Amino acid sequence: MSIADEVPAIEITGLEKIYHGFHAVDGLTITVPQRCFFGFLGPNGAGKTTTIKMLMGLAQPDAGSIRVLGLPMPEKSLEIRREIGLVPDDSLLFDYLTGVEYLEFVGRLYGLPKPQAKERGGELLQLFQLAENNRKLIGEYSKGMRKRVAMAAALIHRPKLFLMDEPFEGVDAVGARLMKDILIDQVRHGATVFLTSHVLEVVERLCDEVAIINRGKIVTQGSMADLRSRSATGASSLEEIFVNTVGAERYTEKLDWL
Amino acid sequence: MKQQILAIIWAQFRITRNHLPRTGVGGVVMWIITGLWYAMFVALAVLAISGIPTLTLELLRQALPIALLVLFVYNQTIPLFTLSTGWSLQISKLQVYPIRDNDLFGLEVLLRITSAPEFIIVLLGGVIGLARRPDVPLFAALCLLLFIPLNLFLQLAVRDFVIHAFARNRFREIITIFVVSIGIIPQLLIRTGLGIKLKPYFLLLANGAATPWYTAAAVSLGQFSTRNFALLAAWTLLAGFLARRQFALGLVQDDAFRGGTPARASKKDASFPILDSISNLFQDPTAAIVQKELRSLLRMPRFRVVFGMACIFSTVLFLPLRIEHADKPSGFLFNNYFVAVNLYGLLIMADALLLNIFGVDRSAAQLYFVSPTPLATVIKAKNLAAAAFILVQNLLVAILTPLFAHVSPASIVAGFIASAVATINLMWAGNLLSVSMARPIDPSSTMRKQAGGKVQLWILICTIGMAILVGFAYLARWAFDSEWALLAVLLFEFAIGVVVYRVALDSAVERGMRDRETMIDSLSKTSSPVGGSLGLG
Repeated sequence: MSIADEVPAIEITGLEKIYHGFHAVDGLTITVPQRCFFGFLGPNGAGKTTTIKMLMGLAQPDAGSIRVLGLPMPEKSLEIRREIGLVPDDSLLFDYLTGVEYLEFVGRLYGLPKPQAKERGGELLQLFQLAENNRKLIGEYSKGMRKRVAMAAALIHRPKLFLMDEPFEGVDAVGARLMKDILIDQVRHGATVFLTSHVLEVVERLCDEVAIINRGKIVTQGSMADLRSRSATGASSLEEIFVNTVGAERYTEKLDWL
Repeated sequence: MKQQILAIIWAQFRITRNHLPRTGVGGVVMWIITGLWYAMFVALAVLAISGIPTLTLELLRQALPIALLVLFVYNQTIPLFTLSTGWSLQISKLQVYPIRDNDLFGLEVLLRITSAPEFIIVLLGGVIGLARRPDVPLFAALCLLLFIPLNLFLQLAVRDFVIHAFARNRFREIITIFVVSIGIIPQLLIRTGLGIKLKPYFLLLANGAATPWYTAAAVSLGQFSTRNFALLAAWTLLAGFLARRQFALGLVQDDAFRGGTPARASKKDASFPILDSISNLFQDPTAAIVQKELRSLLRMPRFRVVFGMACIFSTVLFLPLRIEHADKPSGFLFNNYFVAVNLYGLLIMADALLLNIFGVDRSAAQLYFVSPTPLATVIKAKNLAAAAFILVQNLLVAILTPLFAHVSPASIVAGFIASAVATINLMWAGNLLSVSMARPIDPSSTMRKQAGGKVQLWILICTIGMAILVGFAYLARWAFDSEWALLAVLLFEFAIGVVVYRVALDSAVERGMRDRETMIDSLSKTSSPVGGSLGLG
């Protein structure tokens, strides 16, 4: 079964995940077209990471269906994983490997021949300005460096779909700019990016389409223009739309002494 | 698939290699020690190669099941230690890559070889030794290799079971204390005569006809019966089933994205309300800092292990020596068992409580420099919290030791005072060390990682200093043949310790304020995977 070009990159229908009686994801339905830069936003604990886990086949949905690049998950999880570049939180890194060792290792897991994995690993390390620390173990990296090496690992096999969980967290301005440029370039060349981020300015600038999730449910979805036109309060920035959508209260109404 | 297997084996090799110091004398020493370690097992293998052909078949029939049982026990226990220090690839992290679960399982089983290659080295020696015998067919000798899959499967099952046990609070601490306590078993068996008493049972177990080691030995000596093969296959299948089950459980339970799964709400938050009463004893900010120290340390898996070991492990560790001297009631250890246990327990806790007092605060330590609380108050409050823990440990050991041995009231009093002397002196030395060589501690990590060489040296110096101080008191008792001399010297040393503490506190505060930038920087660093973090004892 091959992956067709014209199917949506991600098609989620009625997805549910329940942890100990708590609906982490509750009837989620999203369609992400290919070659789209998609922002998946929500407050802490809204269900973003759980959704990514289910997209990767790491968590079993309690209800609903997922199709990634036209293939059903988890039935075709192996084929799907070959096409995905994942930038997770830093827990998937191996602390006792150096950056170049880690990249070579990941490249080989994706089926690249060893010399090619090594060569690409070296090049990516140069690109992400980590080459001068090539004897440093990942466990000794700063948070920003860990994100950069994770991003490099996601790129090594030229995936069709990027799943990124807070990719810019802890990354300095130069590193973030580099990562954004690479992602824009990847989308231009046909890849799809599905990212979660709390840096709303970045999402606003980069994403073609945005979905906001709260308490496991999609509360709004569309392009930035769509979201602005739908805003009842006339909010124009994504931050305002986000805050209005998830229903944040003003602190002064709660603490009169402050 | 072959490429993925090679990639993972290569990564495992690199991870193992990267655990060793990479430069300087430390690296060379580690390589030499590793070389010597494996040379020892190669020597055993050579002994098997040359010795097995010289034995009679009858003797071999008796010895081989015993050797296989010993290898079995070794193979199942050693990975518990290596697992605890992280010498293994975390296969669960590989789930995001395009590899089948069955392949991951196969790889995981294969990787168990790296957990205890000594087992394979010695077993191969056995195979060659058997093959050299004219009365053992080559095929039979090769059948000894059938013992390997069973061991690898079982090792994986045990390992995964322990990993998931480690994920649970409290159970993790119990398991860690159990694993560390395994270290005293050989001493217990040899010194107490327990080994001789248990020998018949051990031989009975080794020669149990249905056991995997006995059947493996029988088959490899040419006893090809359907029963033997069926038994060996049944044991291997059972171990394989257990391993697969634990592995599947692990794939489901392992949370590769740690932050993603909503944590199960704690049924009862351990807020320790009794600690609120500290506000009645001290004023803020001292009371607040003491409460914070006690609460955070009690919630910290690493410290709970340290404390548990200080109470239980130290008591059990000296037990074999105590039993050995049971027939000589006038022996030094017989009379001073409580003191020895108490001081050893204090040493176990000293690194966490006294010698690196800002370690657990890590980056939060900068709060002490920006808040309006004087550093002297912070240090004193931390010392008070440490003293509280030491007092509780002393009391628990005082309750525990009479369960194992006769302890005189004089010995208990001496034990408490000796502990106070050691504490006050370690306290002032620790305060100075804490500001000059602050190290971050990972509070969630249960097991020990070695601190840097310089720090270890200072810990050793402090330990020797403590032993000299207490030793002087015992020297006085010996010289004057009086318990009063012992108590007088201990009290005198305590008084001197209090004076030095006051002077050293000023120095520590001065040094801390002067070097705060370096100190905060050191504490903010992620604990290095190659040493540099605090140990258990």
